[in-house]
Amino acid sequence: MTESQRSSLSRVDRRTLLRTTGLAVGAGALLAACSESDGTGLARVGTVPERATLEDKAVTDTVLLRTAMSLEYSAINTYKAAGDAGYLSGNNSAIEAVGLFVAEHQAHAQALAGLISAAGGTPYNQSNERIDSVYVNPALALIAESEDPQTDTLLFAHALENLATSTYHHYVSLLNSAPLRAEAIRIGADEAQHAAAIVHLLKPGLTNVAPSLDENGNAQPASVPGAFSSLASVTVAVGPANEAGQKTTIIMDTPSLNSLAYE
Amino acid sequence: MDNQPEELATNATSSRRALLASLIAGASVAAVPFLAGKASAATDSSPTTTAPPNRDDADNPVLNTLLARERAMVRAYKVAVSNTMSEEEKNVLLYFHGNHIAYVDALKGFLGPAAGPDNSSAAVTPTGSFNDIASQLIAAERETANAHTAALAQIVGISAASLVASIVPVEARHITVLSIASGQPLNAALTN
Repeated sequence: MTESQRSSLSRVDRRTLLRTTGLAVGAGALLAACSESDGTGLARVGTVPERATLEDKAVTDTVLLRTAMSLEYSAINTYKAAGDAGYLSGNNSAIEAVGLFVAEHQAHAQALAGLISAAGGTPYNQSNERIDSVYVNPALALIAESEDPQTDTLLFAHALENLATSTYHHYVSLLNSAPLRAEAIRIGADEAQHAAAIVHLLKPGLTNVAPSLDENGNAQPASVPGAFSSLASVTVAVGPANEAGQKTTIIMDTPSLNSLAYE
Repeated sequence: MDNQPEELATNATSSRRALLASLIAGASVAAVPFLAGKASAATDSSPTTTAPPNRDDADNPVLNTLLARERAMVRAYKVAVSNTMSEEEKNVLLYFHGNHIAYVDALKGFLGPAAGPDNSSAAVTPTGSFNDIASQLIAAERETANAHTAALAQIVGISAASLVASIVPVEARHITVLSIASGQPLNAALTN
């Protein structure tokens, strides 16, 4: 091949490339212009099913309070399920305590309903579906298989009360209304007291007030786990132990965008 | 190009220009739906709220009140520790004393130069048996936690509100522990 032939071939290749690209883009533009729009501004070719549009939901003060209310019902239902299953049978102190906790959670739900109504919202009289499905129901299923369901029930209750405390604490930074922040932390303090009392049920005396480790180096539940209330994930190990002696660990986080009780 | 006939060179140039022009035109047409989508997104009306400020100097007086209260609690626990015999009970009181020191440090740190002088006296001067000491501390803790909670209804800044909110549940836990340790019934231990 001579230099002239090579040069000619090179020109033809470039032309072909440009022509092909130009035709492809032009054809694409023509098809896009002729096609339907799905409302998103993006053109499409052919027929596709209509997409469901996600509703644009705002996280308002009432949504946060409704979510808190749903958490109260999740706690009530957990205690009732444990009571119905007889996990606390024979432990009168625990039964008495759980009765007080349930009464307080019901009072919290009522108080929240009043605040929600006053703010123009609709009270949320049911448990948090997401919290139930990812934390409560799996925990109750594990407790049902546990060698020590009473201790596991108290451990999970302790974790759930800590989660509720963290939720109210966290919501203080999200609520727009200052008086509602005060109401939120007032309830959060009650949940913290439940958690502290449960530690006493698990281990009476003053040994588990401050954070400590057991003989295997595992963190023990503490009545006062730190100087400041924590927003970290709450972990709890419940259920039957595996070959290594380890129970299943559940890591719980405060309700977020996918678990809020939107209106 | 030098050995290319003049006519071929001209045709090639004009053909390349035409192709490039059609390429740009095609790309522009294809881009219209995308640009239209962006434009419509930009004009969407979304709910707007005025977020509370992170910090507001108007909160300083109420934060200074809380700081004074925490200093008074530190002094109260110091007296309580000195009047407690049991090592186990003393350790608990020392732990709570340390927590109140942490609250003083946090509030002082938050206020910075706006922090008021330390001239508060002990919130209570607990004496007697451990149960007596505990009941006096419980009353003081309740008053402190309630002061913080009431302050939250006034505090504007989110950072200050978050700080105060991180203190209240722990003081509530102090009340429960002291109540149970001093033999009070559970319903009393759950009152804050």
